[in-house]
Amino acid sequence: MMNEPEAMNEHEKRERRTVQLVVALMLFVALIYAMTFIKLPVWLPALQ
Amino acid sequence: MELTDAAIHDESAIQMWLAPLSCCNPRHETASSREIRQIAKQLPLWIGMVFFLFASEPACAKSIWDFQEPVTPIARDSIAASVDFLRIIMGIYVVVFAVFAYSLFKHRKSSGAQPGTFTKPGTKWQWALAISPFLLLIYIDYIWMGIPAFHAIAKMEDTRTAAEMVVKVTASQWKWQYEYPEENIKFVSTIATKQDQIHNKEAKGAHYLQEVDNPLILPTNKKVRILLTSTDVIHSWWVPSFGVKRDAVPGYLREMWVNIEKPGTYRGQCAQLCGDGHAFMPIVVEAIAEPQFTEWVAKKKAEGSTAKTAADKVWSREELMAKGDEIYNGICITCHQAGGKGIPGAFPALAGSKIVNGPFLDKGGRLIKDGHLDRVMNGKPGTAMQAFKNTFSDTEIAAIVTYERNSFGNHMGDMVQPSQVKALR
Amino acid sequence: MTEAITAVAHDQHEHPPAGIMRWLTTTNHKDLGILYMSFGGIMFFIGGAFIMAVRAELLFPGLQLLSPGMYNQLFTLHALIMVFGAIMPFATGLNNYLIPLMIGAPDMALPRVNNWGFWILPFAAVLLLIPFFLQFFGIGSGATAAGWVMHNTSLDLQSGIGIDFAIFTIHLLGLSSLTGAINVVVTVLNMRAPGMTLMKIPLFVWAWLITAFMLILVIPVFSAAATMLLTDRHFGTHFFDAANGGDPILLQHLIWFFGHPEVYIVLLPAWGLIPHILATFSRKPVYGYRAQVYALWAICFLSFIVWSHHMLTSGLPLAAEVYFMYATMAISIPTSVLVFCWLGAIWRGAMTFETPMLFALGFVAHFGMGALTGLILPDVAVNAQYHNSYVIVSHFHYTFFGGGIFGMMAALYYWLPKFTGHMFDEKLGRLHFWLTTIFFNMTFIPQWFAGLDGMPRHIADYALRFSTFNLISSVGAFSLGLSQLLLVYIVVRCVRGDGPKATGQVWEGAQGLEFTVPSPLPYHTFETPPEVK
Repeated sequence: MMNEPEAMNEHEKRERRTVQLVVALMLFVALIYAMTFIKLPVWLPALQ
Repeated sequence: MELTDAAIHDESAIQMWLAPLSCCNPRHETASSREIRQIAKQLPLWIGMVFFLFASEPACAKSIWDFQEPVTPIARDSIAASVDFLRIIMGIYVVVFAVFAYSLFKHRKSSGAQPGTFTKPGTKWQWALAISPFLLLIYIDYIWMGIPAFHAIAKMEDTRTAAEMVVKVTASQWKWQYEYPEENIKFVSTIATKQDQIHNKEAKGAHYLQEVDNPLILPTNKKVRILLTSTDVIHSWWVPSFGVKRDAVPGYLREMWVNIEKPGTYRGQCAQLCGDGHAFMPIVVEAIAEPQFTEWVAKKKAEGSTAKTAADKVWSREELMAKGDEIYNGICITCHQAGGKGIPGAFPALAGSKIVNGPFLDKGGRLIKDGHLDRVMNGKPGTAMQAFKNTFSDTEIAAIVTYERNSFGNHMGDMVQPSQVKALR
Repeated sequence: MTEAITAVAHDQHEHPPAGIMRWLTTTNHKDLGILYMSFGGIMFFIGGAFIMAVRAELLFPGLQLLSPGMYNQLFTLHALIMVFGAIMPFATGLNNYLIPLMIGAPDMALPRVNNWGFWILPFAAVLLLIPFFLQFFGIGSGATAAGWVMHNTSLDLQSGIGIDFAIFTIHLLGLSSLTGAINVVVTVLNMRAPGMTLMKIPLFVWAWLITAFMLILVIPVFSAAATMLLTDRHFGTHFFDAANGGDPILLQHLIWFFGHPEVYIVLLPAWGLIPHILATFSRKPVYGYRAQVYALWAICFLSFIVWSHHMLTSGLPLAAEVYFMYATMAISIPTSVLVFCWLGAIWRGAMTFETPMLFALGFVAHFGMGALTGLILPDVAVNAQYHNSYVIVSHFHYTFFGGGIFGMMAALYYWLPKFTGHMFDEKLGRLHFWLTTIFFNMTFIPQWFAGLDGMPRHIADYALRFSTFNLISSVGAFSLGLSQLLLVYIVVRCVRGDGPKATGQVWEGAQGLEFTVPSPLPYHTFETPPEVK
């Protein structure tokens, strides 16, 4: 088992990673939403 | 994983089909398993009932298990490919689930089986055995069925080579307009089944929901290129016997082809959800031999020229009312209902309607925007009310407007002449 | 597979508030899991009730009960409710409840977001259904009637508030799914117990991780398509409006780019949990763990590049048709890897056949049928005959009901003793399985043949040649619906504690961290992470 300061450190690191990951995923969602709206009407007619 | 070894050496493999029914844990081998056996005993009864019901269908016993009779080269190819494919998948299913069933029967705790601890194929032989089904699957997908499928698509999409005539199909909610551009013939085809049959007030005819007023007439043994488009939403033209189905998309011209090899009447219907009348948009094609077809074309052309002169003559109110009655009960009734009652919330009533009981021309003889005649000729965008000037003749529009203004308790007393409509187009 | 050395199960040091506030404010993954699953269960019966009305209309030819407009609303709502209201929330409930237990985490990474994600759902459901009920009071023209993927130019198809409400529902559901998906990704990547490497997490967790990635990629597309539809309807844009230079096929492309992965979003959780159940009742370790993980990823990847096989009759160019045909066929390979691994899971085991095992085997048999019939469909020439006919209805119910629902039921019976601390009535459970299996097949086999004979889907009334098929199918559907009431009875009795006490292990062969803690589970688990070898 880890001692106290190490555990705290681990906890903080995990929290930071969580925040980074959530922000990255949300940006990704926003990007795809915007791309669908703006770019796909231009790209997709090529399929017809 | 020694699948094959075990399967070959075990003689009781046939009994494995019974395994799922009688395979309870001995700990629970009491009332519960009796119950399940009881249900299992009823199984044959159920299956028998289902088969009895299928077998007792008199009208279409011939083709009930399969496609309708194929009459074009594409339909014959499709049915052959489909039957092959169904055989293959049934084969795969039986083999795979025979192995499953064998395991279910053989590897039961109650029969003293000792669980293995393997988590993947162990020997080279087992790896080969594990990989072979996938090689077989790739062979089935991309060679056995894949190559003929490619040729079938190429054939299906080749609408132009050696095409001998063109028919243009324009779909609207909920009817088909057929046009022979080279012959200058154009007519609308709508459902002929009576509302009383649909609402169970009258016995249903043999071709219930699959009969139309003006069938599409096509010659046999001729490659006919069919162009498709739509005026409102996406529809889909499907006659099962022809083996083709293609969407009619507004704003696009799609194409397909048929070459009907056998004279006869072929029935289908719209296959794309297109609103409330989706179920009531049948397609009937009459395939006739070349000489009769030429005759029909000549007759239809003559009718066309009388219709043109008809637009110039002055019609009496009785004539317009009679024709309007016929058209209303064929087309308008789908939405506006019998007696012009409409469906509250969906389709407006015509009886007592402000539009119908209002003026339709202004002092200068121009259409009043959103007046009765304007609504019929130009439709109401965004609703099922379409611009009927695209599909109706001058006479038909004049007749229907006159009819609506003087029926369902509307007493406008006026009428519209075909010549007026012609001038207003 | 994994073994916990220190599975510390705390006593409840923090008691939840009592009554309704517990459920409104809870951030506990188990509470939210139960909420999600109950919501899914309730919606399953609402969606089922709708389709009963549809089957009643189809019992005989002619219009007896419903107007065509009402009919279109009912089957559209049935599909939307079953996919977005029943199967997806139920699978989300399972992931909420099980993922932290399976990876040895105290809770999900974002518990408050989790609560928010759930409480969006009831409002979304109400929003979807409001127009349906308002029409009986003469307000509006009813709920959306455009089919569940709305892949027709809805502008002309239906005016009124129905589709607008459906569009808002889609946005809300998308938001809920996204919060859930992000939560799963973050939890699985960040919250695993020490020693629980990615290649050790149970397959259910893998399946959900992949599902979450798929949701994150396709939900924004679906929401954007719905937004475009909304602006087309009300703000004068012309994305899909052919009369003004828009492109109705674009809507189909967007919707199916979402819609095809959606099929796997519904199925993947079931594929993930089936190996657990098969392994438990065969008393064997999971077979082909790596192969299944790779197969799930392969299916995830392929699902993004085959969407147009839903549009093969819409007049794609020849090259596109050929590409989508061959690409679609490729899906059969990873799928059959899964089937092979399920077979490996039971092979040479020591099987017993409790209710969850029966449902898992039923899943394999029915999903196998759905998958194999799917093998024919990409053949473009033959597809022209199958597309939009009852063949398709039969096919996708074999995958969604025979696959998705059977899988969810197997999971429910498998973990129910774990959730409640009591065993359910095994006898009734088996009866429920056999009734479901028989009537499910009785409902959907005739539909296959009706489709072959040329019956299109979505029709409120049909020609006489299809009457026998529809009669049998309707009778089967009513019986199928009725036999699901047995499930309610079984679950309610189990929750009330009528059965014998369940052990922590519950099933003799059960493995995994969630079976190392007592049943029913304490309110908080794994506050000190277990160490995994």
